[in-house]
Amino acid sequence: MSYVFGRKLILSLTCAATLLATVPAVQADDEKHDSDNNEARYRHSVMEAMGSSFGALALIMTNRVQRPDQLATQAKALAISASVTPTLFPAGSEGGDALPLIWQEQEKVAEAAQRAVDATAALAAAAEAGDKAALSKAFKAAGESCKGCHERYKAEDE
Amino acid sequence: MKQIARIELKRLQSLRLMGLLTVGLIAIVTGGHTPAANGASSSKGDADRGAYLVTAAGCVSCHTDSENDGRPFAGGHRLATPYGVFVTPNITPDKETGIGAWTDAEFLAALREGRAPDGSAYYPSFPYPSYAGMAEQDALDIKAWLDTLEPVRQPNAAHELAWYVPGRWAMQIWQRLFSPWQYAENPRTDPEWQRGAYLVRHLGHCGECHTPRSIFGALDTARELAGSGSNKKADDHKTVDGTGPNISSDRKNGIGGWTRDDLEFFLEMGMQPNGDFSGGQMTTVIDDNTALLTPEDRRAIATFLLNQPTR
Repeated sequence: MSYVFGRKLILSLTCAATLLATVPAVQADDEKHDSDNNEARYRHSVMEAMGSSFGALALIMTNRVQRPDQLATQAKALAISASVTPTLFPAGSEGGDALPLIWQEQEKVAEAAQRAVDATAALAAAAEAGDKAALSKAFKAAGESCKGCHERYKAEDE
Repeated sequence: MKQIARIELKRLQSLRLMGLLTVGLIAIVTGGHTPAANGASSSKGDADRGAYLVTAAGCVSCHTDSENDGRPFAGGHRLATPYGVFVTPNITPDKETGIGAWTDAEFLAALREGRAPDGSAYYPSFPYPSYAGMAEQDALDIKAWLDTLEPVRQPNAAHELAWYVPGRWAMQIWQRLFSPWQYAENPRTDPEWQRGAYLVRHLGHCGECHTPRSIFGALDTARELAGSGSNKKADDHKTVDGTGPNISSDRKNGIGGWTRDDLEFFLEMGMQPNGDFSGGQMTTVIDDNTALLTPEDRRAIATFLLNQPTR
């Protein structure tokens, strides 16, 4: 029994050592890739802009800031940022948080990106109309359109 | 990134092997053990109450093969965990392939003790070590609601487990050693915190993904909700089932920087405070479970989570 345990321990240690050895190499590679890749940086900036708009909307919707008059403005900003999503993954721009699978499934990605465009446009319309229930629903749907893609195509930012 | 996850997984697997071999050894030493049978209950459940409890317990997420448009609660969902693939069973009231022939007592034993009607022990992929803390009436209400479903005839598929996972016979020993999960005495007695604890630890079984496990596959409740691998992604780009990030109140690794409003909004809408909507299994949890809870219950969950120690 102890022989088996000993072997497993060695195996574990070997795996751990391999793991440790791999980490710096991968990190260095990522950094180099990202700084040279302006398309990836642009993609990241647009995504951040959408996140910021979502954050602003949430603060208004939950009455943590009293700015009901700016709801439509923020929703519109979100929809404008989202409108370029279908152009964010050109060939050769692999890198950043985007998994390589994106460039193997271009059609599916295009469809998913279009869903984000449509869902955020619907959100902007609901905000403009000022219907609270519709807004809540549209917000959730817009979020779903983000999640749908992140689930399959975004590397976890650990 | 992928490579790291794979290597880490291998390392975990070899650790788990040691644990499971030990469980096997203990099994040989102590012999088979059948926990004492719970007294049969004749109390009837309330199906209307049960509908809400089924939501709070997240039953539909695992017991539905959503990927292949399977019928709700008919099972067949593949849980790809570090131990291999567990295929969830049919819990519609079909008498042969579902649980339609079960008595209340058999349902309680399965849900809270992990014991099948034939006396065998379930693998803890079925979160009975969490459900063990469920009130008897709540469990019976759940059964009453499941009984109202249309029976679906769909035989259960076999699990496809890693070679180092022992057979179900060993789970009787495992249960004796590790189930139910044990938590330190609750520091607070106010009803909201208590309700939150009940939802998080038992009905919602959040710890099954968010609490790290020992090499025996048991939750390390001393590190409750400290995370078990941050939604690792496997080779097929799906997150590894049964893993989840740190949701303790640690400011850097957990959700200590979130406000109560942030958390309640997240549980309802799925948006993190930074405006991101991350994917992964939490999407399903939000859609099937937390978004459908009452605002009071989301608030109770937030009260419990935000008062967790830093881990």
